[in-house]
Amino acid sequence: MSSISSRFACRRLRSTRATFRYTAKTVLIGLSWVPVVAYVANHVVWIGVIDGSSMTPTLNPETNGLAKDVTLLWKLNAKNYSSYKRGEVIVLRNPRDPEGTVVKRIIAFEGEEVRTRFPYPESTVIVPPRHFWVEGDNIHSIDSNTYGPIPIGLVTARVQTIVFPLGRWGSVPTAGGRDPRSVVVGLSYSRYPNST
Amino acid sequence: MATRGFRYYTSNASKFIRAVAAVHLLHTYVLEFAITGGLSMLPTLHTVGDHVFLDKYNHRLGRDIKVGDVIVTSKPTEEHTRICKRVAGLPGDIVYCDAMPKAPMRAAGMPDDLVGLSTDVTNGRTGKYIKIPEGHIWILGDNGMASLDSREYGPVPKALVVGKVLWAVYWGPFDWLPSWPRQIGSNIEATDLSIADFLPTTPSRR
Repeated sequence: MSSISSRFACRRLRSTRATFRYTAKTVLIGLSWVPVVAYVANHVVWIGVIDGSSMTPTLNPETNGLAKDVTLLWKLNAKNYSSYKRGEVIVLRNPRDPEGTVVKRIIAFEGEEVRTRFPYPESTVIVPPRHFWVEGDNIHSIDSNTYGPIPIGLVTARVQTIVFPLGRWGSVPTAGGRDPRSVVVGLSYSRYPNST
Repeated sequence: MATRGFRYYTSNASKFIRAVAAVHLLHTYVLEFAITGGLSMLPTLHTVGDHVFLDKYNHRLGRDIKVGDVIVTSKPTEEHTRICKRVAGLPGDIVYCDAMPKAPMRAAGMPDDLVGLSTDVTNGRTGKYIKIPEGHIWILGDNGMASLDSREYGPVPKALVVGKVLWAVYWGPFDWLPSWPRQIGSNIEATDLSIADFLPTTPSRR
């Protein structure tokens, strides 16, 4: 009888210790996967919630600011300049505020001459090597017309797919946006002969 | 040799992936030990063989950057190149830009940032005064004759800043051991000079 009770006590003790060890091990293993998740989030793909109305009506078509689109941000190949196509929607770090990010549409590439819009002081501009000319789809967008061409190093991701309002599930169109006043006037590679 | 099971290899691969990701995270957000090269920082850093210690935790994205700091940024006009330069101007500062063979590109189209033009006839140089926009810095190499810097591509966004150089270790190709680490940093003291000290008082002295 005594042997049974002692064995029972021993078993309970071992059981709590085992539970603790199991919990600790699980937590540690879970924590060890955090860098992997961070790598995927930084370099492969992640979910992004679009804030603000600068890409209305392509993203956040409701102007009340309550409904926010959830999108798939594709980050693989994000620093590869030649992989971008005209009209793609990208996420970039705000040149005027390094902590913030903005979502814009690619209008022009390096060596191209662009006809600019209002806040920009000159009527046309030639995009420098490895720079983009980006604009928002909304009229009230603060974009390259305010801060000039943006270097590829600022680009973080491309906005691939709208995920959340399920009714608008699908890839983000490469066409659309404002009236095509901001057009590519021509190519002038001769100004930057070493650019490519 | 004993044959290993499938679990053995998958378990090791998983551990390897997690270790590599952890090191990568550390290199991206906390610190990095990187090799530098090139002529542009010559009095401060050697052409070859200098290894720098980058503080990313405090100075990534241009946080807490002062004039005189040596920083590493990604080059605006190239994709995968990083450059090591010295900070010469902060947002709101007015800097004098020597005329390079090509005019500064980003600054060229921003007349609101262009404060004044100056033609130094005696030296035969033409430069311009540029106000650095918000969120940008002006970076220059210490070896101005062999440096492609903000004079070439204008103000650089702070978001391109990778980190700040704190220490450098010289370990040349023919050295048996690395040198003792030496401190790299703000060698320029802040001055009380204003733009009035630099702007030409008369239109020209011809």
